[in-house]
Amino acid sequence: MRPASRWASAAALALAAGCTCAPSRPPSDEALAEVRRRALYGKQAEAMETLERWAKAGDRGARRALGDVCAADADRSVQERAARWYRLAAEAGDAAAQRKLGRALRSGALGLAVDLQGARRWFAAAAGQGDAGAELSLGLMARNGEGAPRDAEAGARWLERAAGHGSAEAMFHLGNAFANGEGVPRDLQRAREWYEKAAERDWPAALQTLGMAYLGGDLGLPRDPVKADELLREAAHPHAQDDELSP
Amino acid sequence: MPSRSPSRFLFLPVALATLAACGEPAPPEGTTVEVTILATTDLHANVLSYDYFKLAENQTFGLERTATLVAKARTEFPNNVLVDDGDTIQGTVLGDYQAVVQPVSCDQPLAIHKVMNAMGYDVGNVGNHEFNYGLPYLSQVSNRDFHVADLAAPANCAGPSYPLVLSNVRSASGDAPIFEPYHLLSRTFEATAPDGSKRQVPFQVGVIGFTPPQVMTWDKRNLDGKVYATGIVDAANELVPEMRSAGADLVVALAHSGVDPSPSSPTMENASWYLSQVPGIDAMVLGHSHDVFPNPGVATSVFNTMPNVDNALGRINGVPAVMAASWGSRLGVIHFTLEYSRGGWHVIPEDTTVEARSTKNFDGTYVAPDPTVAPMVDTEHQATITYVRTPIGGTDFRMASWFAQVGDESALQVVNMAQQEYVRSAVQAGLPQYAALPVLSVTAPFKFGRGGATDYTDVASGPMAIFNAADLYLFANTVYAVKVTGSDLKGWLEKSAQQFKQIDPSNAAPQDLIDTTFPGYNFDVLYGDVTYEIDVTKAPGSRVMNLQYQGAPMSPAQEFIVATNNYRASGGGGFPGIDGTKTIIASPDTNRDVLIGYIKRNPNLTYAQHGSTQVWRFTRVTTAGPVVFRSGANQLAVAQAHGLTNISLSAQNTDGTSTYAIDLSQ
Repeated sequence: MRPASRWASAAALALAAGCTCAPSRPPSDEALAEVRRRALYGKQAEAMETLERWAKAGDRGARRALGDVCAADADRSVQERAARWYRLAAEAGDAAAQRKLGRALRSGALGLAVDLQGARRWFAAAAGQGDAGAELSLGLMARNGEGAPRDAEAGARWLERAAGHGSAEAMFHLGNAFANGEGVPRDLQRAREWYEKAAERDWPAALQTLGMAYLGGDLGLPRDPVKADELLREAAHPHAQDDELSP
Repeated sequence: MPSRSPSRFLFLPVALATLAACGEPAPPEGTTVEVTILATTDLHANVLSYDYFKLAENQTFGLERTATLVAKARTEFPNNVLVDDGDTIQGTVLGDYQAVVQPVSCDQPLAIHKVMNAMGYDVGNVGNHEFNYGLPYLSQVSNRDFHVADLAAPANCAGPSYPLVLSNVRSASGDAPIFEPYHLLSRTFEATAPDGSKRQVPFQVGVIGFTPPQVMTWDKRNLDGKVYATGIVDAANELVPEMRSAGADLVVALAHSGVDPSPSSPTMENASWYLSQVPGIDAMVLGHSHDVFPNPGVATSVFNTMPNVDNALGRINGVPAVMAASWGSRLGVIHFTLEYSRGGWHVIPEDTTVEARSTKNFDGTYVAPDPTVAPMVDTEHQATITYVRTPIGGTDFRMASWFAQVGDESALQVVNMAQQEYVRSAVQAGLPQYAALPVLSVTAPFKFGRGGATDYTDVASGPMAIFNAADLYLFANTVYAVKVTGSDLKGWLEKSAQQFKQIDPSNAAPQDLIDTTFPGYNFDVLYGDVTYEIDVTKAPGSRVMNLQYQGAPMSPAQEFIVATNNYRASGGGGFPGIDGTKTIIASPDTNRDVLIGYIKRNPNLTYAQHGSTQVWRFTRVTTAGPVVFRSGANQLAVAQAHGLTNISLSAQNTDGTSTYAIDLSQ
């Protein structure tokens, strides 16, 4: 087995790369991802310092990453700092930070008061950049009437946009919308297609919906206990995408 | 030629002999060798074809049957390497039993490792589920020193007799990968020289392991601050060239990761599409997403339409790849022919074949189990069955779902009580900001006759064992909690109340009460100092009446926490506003395990305390004709024992059901 020092020196190099960065030259995506992982999951003090240095030098990716690190902290006063870093990154046009700030404002997390209008504004900014998560949030807010009168049609339109940008969660909600005729005409065939698309992306609730449908022969599917078993087994296997892992 | 001393002549043959021993002379140009990778993945502790919750054989899975495929493939392909792609040790009651109930001792290998050792596996990868039981356990059962702070090295424990590889999880304190990142398997294979003669050649198969970096969030409680995961493609870019220079003749990536061609990110979960583009990888053994690849001729295969994926030949961006589903239902086979030229072995791409062989025969039967497997793990298997049958408590009442759709809560209340208690403690422990909110719970009759006239929950009074919990909680969901308002709850219950058809009180003809197209698993029944009525004479959406909390009308604005499962909390069933955004607790613990824990702590369940609460009832109405519904035959005694005295037997049907009438005026 190779000596541990080899890995330690690789780490030191990666961090040193940060030190030599002039404030005007942002870290590469890879360097940022590496340092973020070390800070967020390894809780390595050195990595946190590097991130903070990059963030203070104005790098929006580093600001968002530092927001992630602060948001994951058990200490609530540290969590509140996350909102400030997200806001700085969001104001600089970072779509993921705009979405994260929107979510915090929507639920009143990270020490922020609930601000549905503010949430919608940030979601709209991120959605303008094609951020699927923000489009999903806008869809659900429209459907639930959060911050504006309930508008199921608009909700379904946002969900379709989010699904088009790859959000499995939005595909699943669209399945529900077609199954229940919510903002779209009731259409079990299309409902099933959206559930299947979400299930292909391992969205657990979609897998379970289809599994249970095969148990009972719902959604126009044949009754098939073996297929049902298979899908329900898949549903129990966590695959859920987690945007917190994206740098 | 210069003259030599005799001694020097004498020395020469010795030197040649030494050379021949130290490094084999190169095979002649054009020599070919066939090398086959045999691969399992996502075995999930399914050693035998046995379902421990149903206490019954299930031939669709189990390593004992995959072993039969392995034996056959080995006779076809003598130059083979048997690999496993991870998610090996967790996923059945057997796995839980050995990890948690009766932890396996240091000197014993896990049952699945015992079998894999006997099968002669050459190397294994580490999947995300390997981390489920924590690092100390994983360190012990894999006999590996992780060099993680405060984690002692295992004392030479039993484990797999083959190396485990994983390149992208590192110790937070030491920065080194916690497993050997890759391994070079030095083998001697039979090759064929251009003249047709056979010869033995040394051959190095380099194998590298990867797991989804998402393991950091899925197993946060076990891993945070101790290890960190890096991107799969990053790790490959760093190490594959090193494997090549270390002398690997063939590089095989064991990626516990699926295939996702959408735009790359450094931390993507299913990174194999991008992994295939890392130069130097000859083959990929895939897993994690439990898919079958290649899966030619199957219209529903997700791989049919993926860019640069050949679902017939098993290629991703031209790289041979295989995924052998899960639970041992398939064996991946990648068969290479390599030719020796220019000082090295080169894969002949057109001679590479890939299959995911099924344990299911064409006639629908399954291959026989390898008879040597079951005896090897009989002790562990029997101990698990004994555990599943061991009484964990008892009940003085029958918990049955025959009438759960019309008001019998005997099979639901204990589930709700267990969920409520669990979420209450979780809020107290971790969510002080919600400590003042009341905690309610919902659950539904998962077994409601869909699968036939006896497809109902029915736990007899008397001792209760683990497997009874599966009868009370059919699905392998996890406990989630959502924060909602009184008005959300009203909408929630209205959705549940869509189970009923609208009853016309003036209609003298018999009317069906239950809309059988509405699945019973969406008939959520609320619990926790609440009461409500359902008025079936009203249209859907305006049926829930008199919703009270603590004996007073529930305020639409009042906030509550509701314990439920991940399916409902994330939008399953399409309940209004319950769409994932209200989730405040997403526990990794299954509702079933939470129920088991509750029964263990409350081993004497009584009807008075755990079964008799009637949270909801029908709004009283006199109907001109009978209101009827179907359930299993001859179960009236259950209804009467549980206080539903307004139900009577109306007719016996030929399909094993009875038609019952319910008098809504009582």
